[in-house]
Amino acid sequence: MLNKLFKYEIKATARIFIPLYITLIIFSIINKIFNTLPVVYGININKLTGYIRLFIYFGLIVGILVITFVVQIQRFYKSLLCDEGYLMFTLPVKPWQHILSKLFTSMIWIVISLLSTVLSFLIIMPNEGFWELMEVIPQGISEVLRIFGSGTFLVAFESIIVFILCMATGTLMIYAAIALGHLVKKHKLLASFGMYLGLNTGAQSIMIIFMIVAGSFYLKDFSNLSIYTQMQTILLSSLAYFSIIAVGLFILTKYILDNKLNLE
Amino acid sequence: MTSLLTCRNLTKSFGAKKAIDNISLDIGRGKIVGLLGPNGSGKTTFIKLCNNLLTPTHGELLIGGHRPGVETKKIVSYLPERTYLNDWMKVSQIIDFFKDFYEDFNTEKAYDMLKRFNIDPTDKLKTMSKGTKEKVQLILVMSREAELYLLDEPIGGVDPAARDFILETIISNYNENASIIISTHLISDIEKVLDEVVFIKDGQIVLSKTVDEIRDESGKSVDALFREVFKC
Repeated sequence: MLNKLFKYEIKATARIFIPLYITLIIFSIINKIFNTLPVVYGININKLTGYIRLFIYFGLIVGILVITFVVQIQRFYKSLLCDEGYLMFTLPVKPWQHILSKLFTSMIWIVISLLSTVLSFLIIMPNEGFWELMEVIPQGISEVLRIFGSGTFLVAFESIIVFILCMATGTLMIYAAIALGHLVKKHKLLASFGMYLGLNTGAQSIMIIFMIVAGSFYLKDFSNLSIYTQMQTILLSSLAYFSIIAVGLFILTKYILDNKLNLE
Repeated sequence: MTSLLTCRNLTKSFGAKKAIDNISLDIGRGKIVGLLGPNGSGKTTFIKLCNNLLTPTHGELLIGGHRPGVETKKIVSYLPERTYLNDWMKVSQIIDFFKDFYEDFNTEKAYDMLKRFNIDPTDKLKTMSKGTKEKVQLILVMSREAELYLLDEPIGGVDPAARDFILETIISNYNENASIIISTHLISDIEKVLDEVVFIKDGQIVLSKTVDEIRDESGKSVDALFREVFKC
């Protein structure tokens, strides 16, 4: 059932995102073409349209990031806790399957939104200055390889896991806030916003306490450790932190949808 | 006969107000039951409790021996009093959706009914009128071969001419093993299809009888009795 929910969630959101990505890529290509246009009859089309294109381009990128965020909220709130919830919650599936299907879908779109932004940069940017700048990348990689040696891939792998967990935590925090806000009788959306601030503050407090405790007891000699060990310590503790918060938020949201659901 | 739906001392409060107040009820199989009561009497709340959309404050509710959950959702087909269709699918897509999630969904039946209602399966849900959406929902709900149909105001939004057709659709699409609970205040329209009635007022059951009993005992129609019981 989870894969069916996932399939429909992707379908429901793809119709919003795919056209956006296509627009961004097409616009990037148009931009690129304009950039290479020669001056004809003394008219420099490139310069003439430069600001407008820049404006539209950044508008598109900001738009995609904002829409990714808004859709995340809307797909949870509208399709589960508004009228559509009458359909979704009478399907023979468990609430946790709804949460997971929406979480996975949301994370996929976050990643694709980021990748499409990077891709559009790569389409527009490449001029000589850019490639000179890009030479830093192989240098950086060889530097990292020199420091971490055979541990590089482990560090890279762990970084990706931490990034994924961080995204999941952010999304689950939104879900938990909406679910908590739904328990309030009036002004549910405003309540959700307040709950989000509360949860965020809570999560940060836990992190600070964690850092103080860990720092004072175990890591007095942190600066004496090798960079590799320092990196591993940071990554593994982030991994533990995000896992705990994400699981906590998931359980909270699941509990509310299981036991406190009241569609009115 | 084992009962299909059982509730014991079921109560649902919203703050201090009791929307459902200590209801106990048994509904058997093969029955069409009218859940009748004035506006705000608790009909919709009761149906939502059966669908796990609300959680009871007290008491027990069992459908086919299970508490509301995945097992009951497999056998309950629910028509809510509002439109729950999303705005991005075509009729054919929502039919696929139902087929995907409900094992008891009969696609052939759904397309057959669409044809009879003159609804084009390639139409988008977004562009439909409220009445057409209600018909689509009814078709989706009645195309399932469920054990219990919970229909909340199924004829409220459609014109009187379509009402008879809808009622006919409802009664011709269920089998003797299944029961239908219809909530409405348009009693005269549905009276002729009912086997049993439950009168509900302020969250409490005031009367629960078969239609034959009502006619034999009081010599009145359900509609007339309703007007008497709920006289303002």
